[in-house]
Amino acid sequence: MSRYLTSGKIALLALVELYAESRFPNQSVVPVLSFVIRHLVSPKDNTAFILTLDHIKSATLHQPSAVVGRTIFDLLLKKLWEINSFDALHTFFANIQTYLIEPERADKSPVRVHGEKSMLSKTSVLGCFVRRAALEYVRLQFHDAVSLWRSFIAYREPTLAMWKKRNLGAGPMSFDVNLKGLGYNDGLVGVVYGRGKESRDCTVSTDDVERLLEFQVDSMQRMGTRIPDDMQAQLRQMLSTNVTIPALTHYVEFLNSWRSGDYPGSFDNLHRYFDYTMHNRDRTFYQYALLNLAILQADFGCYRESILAMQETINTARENKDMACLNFSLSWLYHFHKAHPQDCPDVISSRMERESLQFLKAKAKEGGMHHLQSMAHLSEAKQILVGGESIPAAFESILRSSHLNVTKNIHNAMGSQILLQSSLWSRMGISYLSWMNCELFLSKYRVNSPIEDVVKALCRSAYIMSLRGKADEALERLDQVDQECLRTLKVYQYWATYVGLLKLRQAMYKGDAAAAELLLQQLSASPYVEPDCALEISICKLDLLARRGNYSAALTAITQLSEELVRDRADIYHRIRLMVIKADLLSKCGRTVKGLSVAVSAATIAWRSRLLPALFQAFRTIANILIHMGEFAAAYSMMDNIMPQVLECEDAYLNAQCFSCLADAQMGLAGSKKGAGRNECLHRALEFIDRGFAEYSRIRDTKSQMTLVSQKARIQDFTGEKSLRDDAVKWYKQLKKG
Amino acid sequence: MATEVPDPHQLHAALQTAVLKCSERCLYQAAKWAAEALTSMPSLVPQNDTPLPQSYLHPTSSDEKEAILQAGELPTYLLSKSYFDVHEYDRSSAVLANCKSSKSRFLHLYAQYIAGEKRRDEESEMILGPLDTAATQNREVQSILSHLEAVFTEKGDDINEDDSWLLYLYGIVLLKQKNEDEARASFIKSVNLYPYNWSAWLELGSTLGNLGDLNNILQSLPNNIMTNIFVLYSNQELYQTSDPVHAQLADLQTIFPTSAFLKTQRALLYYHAREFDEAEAIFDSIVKEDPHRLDCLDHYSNILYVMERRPKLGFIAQLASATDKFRPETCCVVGNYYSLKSEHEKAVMYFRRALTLDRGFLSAWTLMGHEYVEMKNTHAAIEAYRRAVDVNRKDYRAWYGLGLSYEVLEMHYYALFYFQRAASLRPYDPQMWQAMGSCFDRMNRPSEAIKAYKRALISPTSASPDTAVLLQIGLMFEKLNNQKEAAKWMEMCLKEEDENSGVTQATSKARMWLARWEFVNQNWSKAAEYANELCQDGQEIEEAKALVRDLRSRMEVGKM
Repeated sequence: MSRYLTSGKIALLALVELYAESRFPNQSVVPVLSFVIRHLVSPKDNTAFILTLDHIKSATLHQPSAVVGRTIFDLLLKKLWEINSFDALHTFFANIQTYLIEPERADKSPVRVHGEKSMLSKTSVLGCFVRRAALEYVRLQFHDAVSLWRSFIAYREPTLAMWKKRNLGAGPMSFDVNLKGLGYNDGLVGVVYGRGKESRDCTVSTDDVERLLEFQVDSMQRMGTRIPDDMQAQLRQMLSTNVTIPALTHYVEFLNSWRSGDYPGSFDNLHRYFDYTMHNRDRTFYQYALLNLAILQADFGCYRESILAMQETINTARENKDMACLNFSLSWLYHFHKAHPQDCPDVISSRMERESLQFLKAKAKEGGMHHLQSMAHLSEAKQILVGGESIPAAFESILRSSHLNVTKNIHNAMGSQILLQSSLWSRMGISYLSWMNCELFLSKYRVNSPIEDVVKALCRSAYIMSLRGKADEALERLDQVDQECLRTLKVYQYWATYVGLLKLRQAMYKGDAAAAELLLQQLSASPYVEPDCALEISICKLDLLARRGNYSAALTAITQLSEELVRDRADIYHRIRLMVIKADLLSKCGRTVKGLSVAVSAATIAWRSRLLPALFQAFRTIANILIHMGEFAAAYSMMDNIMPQVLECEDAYLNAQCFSCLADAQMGLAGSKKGAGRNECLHRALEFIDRGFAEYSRIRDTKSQMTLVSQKARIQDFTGEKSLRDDAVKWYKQLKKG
Repeated sequence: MATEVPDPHQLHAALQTAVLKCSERCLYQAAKWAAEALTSMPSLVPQNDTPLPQSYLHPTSSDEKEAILQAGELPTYLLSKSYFDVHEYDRSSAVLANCKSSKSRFLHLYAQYIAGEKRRDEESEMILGPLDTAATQNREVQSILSHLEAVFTEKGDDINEDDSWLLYLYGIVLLKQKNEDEARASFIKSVNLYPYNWSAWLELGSTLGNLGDLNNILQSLPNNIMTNIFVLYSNQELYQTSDPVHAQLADLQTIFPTSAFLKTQRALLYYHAREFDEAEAIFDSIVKEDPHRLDCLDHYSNILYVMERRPKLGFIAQLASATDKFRPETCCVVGNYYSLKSEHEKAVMYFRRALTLDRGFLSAWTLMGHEYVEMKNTHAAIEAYRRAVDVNRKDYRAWYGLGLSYEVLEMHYYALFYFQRAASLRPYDPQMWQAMGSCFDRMNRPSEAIKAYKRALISPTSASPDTAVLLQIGLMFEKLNNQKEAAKWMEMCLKEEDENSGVTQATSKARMWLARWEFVNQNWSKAAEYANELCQDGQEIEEAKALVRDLRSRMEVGKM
């Protein structure tokens, strides 16, 4: 039940003493000392907690020492075995303090002579360690000092064989000089050391456990993971040694249960943690308790309570003048308001309008909270994009954020920044860059980023791949996700939604109505989906209805959705897409004029906001309507001009539709020409149909393929190529069979 | 003091009965001692034709009336004893309020007494705190006393073995009231009636202040092996380390060959005679034989402290702590260890703990006093030493410590009193006399100082007199303006140096004095001789060199 000292620390002290006695040659100094220091300062990874002699051995066994023929490990063993009685341990601790010296009086010359004592400054890392160890030893009660001694003996015991090689007089009783001449089974030995000499206290101290827990909390909060299994195993091992566990363990439990989706459990643990720490922090930590509570409630969907808690947090933070907490809560509230405008009471919304992003940015800059500032810039960029305003302004904000990230070395903000960039490119229709950004993030910035960002990037890159037609590869990509990340509920849900979406698409294109329905049901059942996922799901739903021919239901659904989006002041991209689909449906239903007006307004807005894929879809719809209205040339020239950029978007479905549109236009043109012109048009139409067919086959949209093939057959009928026609019919039949 | 060697079988049976009787009456320490003595006898060949000896049966009184009474009250008695065993003393006493047999009466009163002691301890709260004074008393003492007096007047002369216990209790309460003579008489009566109650012997021993007292009571003690053991124990407690005592011990060891108690007594005799190595060896063997025995480990730790054997002391501390952390002996050992490591605050903490566990633990008081002296807290040291002598008048170290503390406070007349007490306990210990001498010196009474120093020279252990003492005597004579005597003593000091001790600071001072003396008497050559020797020895060089120069100049003048 030691508070700080363990047998491992005694071994480290012995190493430090060897160093202070200048027994290391120069090339060994750095590796051995960095090993020592790794165990003293805050850990960067999870190997630096339990210190066994094997670790020390591997670090020092191959390092030669200043004494010829002996490695550092040999010298260390000699020092450890020289502590041959309880009194000797006491003397060891008294002695180690003689190596300390006031920093002003420290000798500045770096030249060390072997064997000469060189002092450690009291304020250096090693000096602080020595001072703390000595102080803790003096504070130990007699009984605790005896337990430390006993555990030290047990710790050192495995090296007896090596020690015997150098020192032939050593025997099984040489751990205590007072036992000379006694046997192992002697009564005296039994009484003093207990039979078997096992003592598992003092292999782990409270200080070690605290370091482990702090490291855990840090990584969980930064990365958003849960406790990995090997860390849990280590923690369990530590707990089994009766050491006093600090209250931080409850906070770790809280984070763990939160991430795993255990709502009552996380509540429980949060309250427990703050109860235990209340007696030594009292009201100063109250706002953090409320903050955690608010975020927890929002995460689990209790928005009203969350807002109330957050208001309390802000008030308390203002009272206690805790600027960091205040800024964080304000920014959180701002984002929450943006994400769930309907759940915020009016008081909050109006305040949020006033306390706009500028205020937040200014506050964050004042407080030196760079992460928050960077995020604020990203939010600004997002706001611009969502509102469909100037793209260069959005780029400017992203650049500001990126500058902050790079100069202040904010690793975990890189994810959000790159994802925003990627979505910006895909909105502008350059899907290759978008995909590239995701890949870049995944290959280079994965390590220090929150797992949410990693999974989002993965899903997006898979989605882009699926748009290109490589659905199977996309699904494979999604399967490659790290299982560890999926243990967090939110991440799991996001990932599962994407998988479902891809599968739904596949099923839809294949024409498997039952499977599609089932998947759609499953996907719609989940109440908390991201807005972009939600949009895609709605679009699939509409598509499905359209394919089945249920246009009235589709139109009702779309009207409802648009209303919701308008009310929520949602992303302009979403609204435009819905408008385009509506125009499409209207044109299919025969209300072409209305469809045209809708499509034209959609196109205008899209062009203004530079949302190019949406623009192209709007154009296609307009072209279709023009074709219906007989304006074949206009339709053809419109589509012809935009085709290269459409192909850049790498959206197979869009490409296919555009090609079929072109083919229709050509057919229309062919109708008004005669002879060679007609044949030319027909041939061109066939070409377009082939290309369209190729695109459809990439996404395996059987129905559309069949449509195209039948069109092809008819054209060939006209041109009189019987054999080709027969081929086409055979093809059709094959497709029909599936 | 020769009593007849007892028959082993009888002794065996007597000791066995003693164990049972003492534990029946809840006198656990006496029972433990008797059991240890019993098991240290060589094992007996069982005699075939005797029936089961009485000691296997429940030991009853030999008086028939008494036996019937006891048998009748047995259930109540058992109830009372069981309450006593779970430390519910008042309840235990209350159950036996109306019982008539001697045994029940004893337990009734004894439980009352223990309850009173417990309350007194609780009221005294902290050790050396404001409430820890002689004013807090055992309130039950008075009523027990009157009760017992009534019983004895009722019985008149008709007292037998069963009443020995009541007499023992009577003696204890008389001691509490500081009535030593009557208590002593009562204890003597008790052991005469039933010799195998070791607690009674121990209490009797605590009433003896010096060897004279022991000799006075020798006649009234019973003719029993227990008397021999008691006499040996008392001699050891009174620091009599002469050969006859060792011989007595050897005799006893033939009867109880493996007795750890006797071995401890021998070791303590060596300790008092300052033969530390033998004492340490004996204690070491005791520890090896029975690692769980904590009884005299505090004395062992004192020996190791004096010998400055740190690793061994640490080991013994570990051993004691492993057996039982909360015994006063263990705490004393740990305190000694920390004291040897010069961590005095921690040492005081552990001695306090020992005292909290047992307020009457003598060595803890004395050692705590030593620690306070090291920490320069003279007033606390004085109080600690005073408590030590209150517990046991015979502890010369506490008296000596008191004297030293008062000297530090410059209260020399006062200190003198304490040194005298210490010297009376250890008449052949030179340290005490030396201290007294320096006290007289400071009070400007040189003639008495000389007497004291002369006593210091007579010591049976060290063969040659101490040079420092000789020097002091010389200086005293100088103060008395008796220069010739002074010179004689200085020369003796130098002779001492030649023979035994070599050059010390004392001898150099003596030489310096003699050089100046010869200078005054104008024996230039002798003075020069002394001065030159001084220069060689390297002490007080500047003065010696100055003297040499001066002498040289004078001798040259003398020559011319």
